[in-house]
Amino acid sequence: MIREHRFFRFVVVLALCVMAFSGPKTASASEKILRVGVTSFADTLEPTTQYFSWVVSRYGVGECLVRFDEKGGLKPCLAESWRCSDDKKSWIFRIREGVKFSNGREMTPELVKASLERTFTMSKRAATAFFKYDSIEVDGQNLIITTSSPTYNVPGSLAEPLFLIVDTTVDTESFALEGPICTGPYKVVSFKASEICVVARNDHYWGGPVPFDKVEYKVIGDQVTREMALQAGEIDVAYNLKSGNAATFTDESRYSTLCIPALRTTLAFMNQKGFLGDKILRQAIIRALDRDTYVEVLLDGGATAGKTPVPPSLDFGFEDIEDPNSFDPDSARKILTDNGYKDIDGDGYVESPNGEKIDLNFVIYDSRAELGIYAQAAQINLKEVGIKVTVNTVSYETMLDKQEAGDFDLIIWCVLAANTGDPENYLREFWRTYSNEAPNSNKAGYSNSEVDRLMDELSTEFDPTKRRDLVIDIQRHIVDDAASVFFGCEVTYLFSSSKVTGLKIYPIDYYWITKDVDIAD
Amino acid sequence: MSFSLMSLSPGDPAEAMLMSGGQSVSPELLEATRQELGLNRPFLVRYMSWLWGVFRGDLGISYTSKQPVVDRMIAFFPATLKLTVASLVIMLIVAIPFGILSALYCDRWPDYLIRGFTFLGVSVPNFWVGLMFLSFFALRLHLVPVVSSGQGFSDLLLPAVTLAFAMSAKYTRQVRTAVLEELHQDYVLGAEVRGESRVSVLCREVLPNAVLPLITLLGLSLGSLLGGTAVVEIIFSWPGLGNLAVHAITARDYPMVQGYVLWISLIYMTINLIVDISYGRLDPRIGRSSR
Repeated sequence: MIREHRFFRFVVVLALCVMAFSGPKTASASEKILRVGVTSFADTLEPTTQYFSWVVSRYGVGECLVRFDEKGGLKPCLAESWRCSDDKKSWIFRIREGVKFSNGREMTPELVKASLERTFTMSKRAATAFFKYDSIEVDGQNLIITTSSPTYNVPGSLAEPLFLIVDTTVDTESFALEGPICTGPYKVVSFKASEICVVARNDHYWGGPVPFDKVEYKVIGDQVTREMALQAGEIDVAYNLKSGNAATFTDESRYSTLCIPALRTTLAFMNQKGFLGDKILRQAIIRALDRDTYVEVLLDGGATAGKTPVPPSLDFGFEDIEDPNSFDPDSARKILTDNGYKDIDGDGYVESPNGEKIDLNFVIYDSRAELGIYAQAAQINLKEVGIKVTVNTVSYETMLDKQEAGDFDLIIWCVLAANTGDPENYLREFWRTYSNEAPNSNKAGYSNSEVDRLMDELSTEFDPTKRRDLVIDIQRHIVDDAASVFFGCEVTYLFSSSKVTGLKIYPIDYYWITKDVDIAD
Repeated sequence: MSFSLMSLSPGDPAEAMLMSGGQSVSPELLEATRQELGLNRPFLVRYMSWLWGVFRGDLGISYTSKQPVVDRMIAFFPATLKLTVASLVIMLIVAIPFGILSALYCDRWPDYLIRGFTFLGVSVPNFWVGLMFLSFFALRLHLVPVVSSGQGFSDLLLPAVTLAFAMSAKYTRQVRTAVLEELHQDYVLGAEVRGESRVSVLCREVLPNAVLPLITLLGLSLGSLLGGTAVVEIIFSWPGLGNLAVHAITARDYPMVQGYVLWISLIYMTINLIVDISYGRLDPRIGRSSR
């Protein structure tokens, strides 16, 4: 009897524990709140750490001197205008007057200088991935950045959220957990990593009225749950859903769908230190791949077919460049046969001209579902022309290791082509001849002296039209050399309640919630 | 062991941090970051340093959040504890009556029905059950929210029920077996011959004896739940230790993973100890025999 009572007491105590732990929900009906479902990204809100500044910008908190428009062009933001000096080593930014930080302090050119210097001091990425500066000086309302050598894309670099302007006069140690003091339409009021970030209206915002009292960014890691949360009306906007979710949101009276080709390209580097050193085999591979079908059918329109290094979302001649290796499996078979690739042992796959069995190691990583689809489709297409491919799926980190070590024949990568609006760094990094002097360059062994020359010319060219021509020329050579497989260019989707107005979608997704985003009554 | 496995596994925390934006980085930046994280130090030095920290109650600083690992775990623990307690309560509320009913009506229709439930419970994966529950109870019936905030009772209900679903099935079978075993004992027949009612025999004799073997199982479940249940926590956006662990593993946040492994080990050891002690308290014969 005593045991029986003990057991039931235990159950009652457990039930009471549950009740005690379950706190009431807090909500204020009078507040105008926008609820946004996001995937986990930032572990802190310190903008100089990793890529967390992107989150601060997306949440409508941080702003830069310059920003991108919907076509990837540069627009004034905290700087009203900018120009380059005659010697091309100094960039002069006129700082906007009347801008205040969210704590009410005026944003002066001196504070802008301090903010940029803080970024360069604290972020190794700032110091290595953008430009090197000799000095930052203030002259009245102007900020003068002098670089050690002529640098074309300083304004584009400063549009990267890493360089958002923060108030350095406050306790900057608190930025990580309480959010930085910035100039955007909203300011951080609470932040729990991997859980929720709540921002509130910045009453000092310089850009006009801000519609919401609060915006809540709720981390909903699972894609299906995020989709259901929007369907249930628990969130108003859902980020990072894919084309596969589009079928759920076809009812235009309830949902809005925005989509745009993003700046990401999914490409496969071909390691020229092995079998793929032979251009014929590389050409045959590219000709065998039915990329239009991959993106239209297999990915349900979730990407556009790739062709060139720079995706069509940036105006660098995607349409103008002709692909000599467009889909043509018969031609792929023919050039293989004509050049000595034959199936000697009758297993259905060709051997190399000197009789070696070919089995290409295609390394892909598992964090993006579309990569597996591309790889498997490619494997089937290549089997049809007699090229054997073994797909090796690894984690993203392992893929990076394998890329670094050159342990691959083909290696896939979904990569951002131009985080500063300009593809120079991206092209240089992946297709300029590798050398110890430039250890940042490609590990696939691609080398073309003419491409190297054009890249060097690009690095000193300041005329936008000439730069565009140079980028197109560089891409033409890369495509003609069959250097890499360009599978597709990702399409970004944004699903929201139809009541949400003013949402825009950008190829460079640094901006999510702006002062223009509102909700209809 | 886990420290060695993490060090041997492919992937570099510095790369994971620097390339999270999908861009490549320079070798100089990579090396500088490795130095900053202490990854350039020899394995044994790193291990001894970590071990020394553990003895002082310092599990290190998370690579990603730059906060002490202990603070991060403390922040995520209450949500996991809530989920653990709630799912265990629901499980017990379901499993004990179902198990008894199933045993009492052995090979009759209530037994078949309950056995059907248990087969289903142990067969279907948690994530599927969770999504089905979300789709039905949250999306169609609007009884509970899709996205848990980790706060209110309604937020807790669905993830707890999802976890309890599979556990209930397992425990129902255990209770059924244990009760059936007891029902076939001579003392039950004797009690019935003496004129005691079935219910009385069940409550006074059978149940206390039948519940005892479940304690070990309950201890293991408690340990597993307190470690966080990653799949369910991710589906329901539940801010618990499982969610934290998955994030740490993905980001190669070694101090965080190491802290988590230590926590799991401690919790299992402690619960096993409590289970062993409780055996002696609940059944004095065990205590005496061990002496």
